[in-house]
Amino acid sequence: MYKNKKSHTGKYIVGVTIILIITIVITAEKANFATNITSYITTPVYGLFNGINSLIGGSFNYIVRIGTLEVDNERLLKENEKLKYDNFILNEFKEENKELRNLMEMSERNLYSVVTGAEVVGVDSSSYSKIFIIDKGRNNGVNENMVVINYDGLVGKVIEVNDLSSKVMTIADEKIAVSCMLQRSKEQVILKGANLQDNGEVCKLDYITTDTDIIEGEDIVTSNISDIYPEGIPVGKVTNIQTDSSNLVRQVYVKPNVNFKRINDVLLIKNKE
Amino acid sequence: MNNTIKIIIGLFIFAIINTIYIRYFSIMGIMPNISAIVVVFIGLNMGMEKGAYYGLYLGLLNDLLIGISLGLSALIYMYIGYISGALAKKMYNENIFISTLAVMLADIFYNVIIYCTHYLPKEYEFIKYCMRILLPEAIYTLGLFLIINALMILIRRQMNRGF
Repeated sequence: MYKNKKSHTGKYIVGVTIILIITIVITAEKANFATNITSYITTPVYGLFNGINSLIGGSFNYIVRIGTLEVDNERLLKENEKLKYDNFILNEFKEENKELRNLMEMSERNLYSVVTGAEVVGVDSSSYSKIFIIDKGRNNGVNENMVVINYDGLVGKVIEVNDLSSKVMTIADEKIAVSCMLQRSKEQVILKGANLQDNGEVCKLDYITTDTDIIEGEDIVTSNISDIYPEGIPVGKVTNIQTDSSNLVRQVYVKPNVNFKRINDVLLIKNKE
Repeated sequence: MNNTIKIIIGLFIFAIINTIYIRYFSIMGIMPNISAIVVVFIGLNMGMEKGAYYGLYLGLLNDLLIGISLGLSALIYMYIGYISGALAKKMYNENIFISTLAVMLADIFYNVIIYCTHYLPKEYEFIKYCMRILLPEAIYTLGLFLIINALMILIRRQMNRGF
């Protein structure tokens, strides 16, 4: 009896294996019907857990910080005064810039048009890929390939959109490549994710020859010739330059401005038109 | 409530909690494979058949939540559950050696399949992948498994004493 049952399981396993291999081939790198349906069930559950999470975290924070609240308040009020003043000065500069641009007959530089803000609800649990889930989807106007930023700089792009949630691939993932430029020399470079390299969660620049003008600590921003990314979003800083043994190519490592461990809120902006 | 339904709901909640809190476990970008621990545990305690079914279910959930191609982790976890169920026949009462071996093999198996499907076309060196991802993750997962196991034995003893 037991043997009979066992052989049946073997048959099922072979059958399921064949079905799954076909599914993998069909659905590779594509949003599909099944994930869309699942998003309707999982998004409310994510909302519930994140609500509980922030409730617990919030009250815990409140208890921990209750002693220092007064000092913090004082400091923040002072900071607020200073920021108001800075804002005033910046507005003056903005107006002046506008006037000067008018005089020079140059068109105004477009600011990034924000589609929506979103919250990161979950991350990929595997070590090799750097993907996370956000709580906004097609119903909120999100499209595939939309650019994701936060206040530190470029985070990544949307790779899959469901009705209620989307998946974002960060710039540290091996599978992504971003067209960037060096801020000093405006030289075009291609930034690639390198989370599988030996030195942790960083990115690297491809095709850097020895005659490229590049120094450690240099800022990297998105390029003006990219199809997807709007120009001038800060990406990261050059941390390490290694010359190849052939003395022709250099390995350049970049530390992203965004800390991917502490990422909670992101902004989605429209692609370049 | 039926035991099967309990496990199905439990695994669903586990898959979601796993994606929410796993980032706090990240060390240098390495995350422990808790799903593999869970599937091995089910396989060892419930046998080949249930190990395979629940492995398939948890893998599918992982694919639907965060995976890029549907079915890959489902396939891997199904085999992990099935094989650890087969290993369980050789296991005596709370034999830590067999379960440790099963978790380690499961994690390595998972990452080797991922290497073959994701990185072989790009000629990413296997040795480098081993040093950066495969070995650190296996060690981390193993350490976590040993801690969970010790905790569970402790709880079980406490409960036996209590009742």
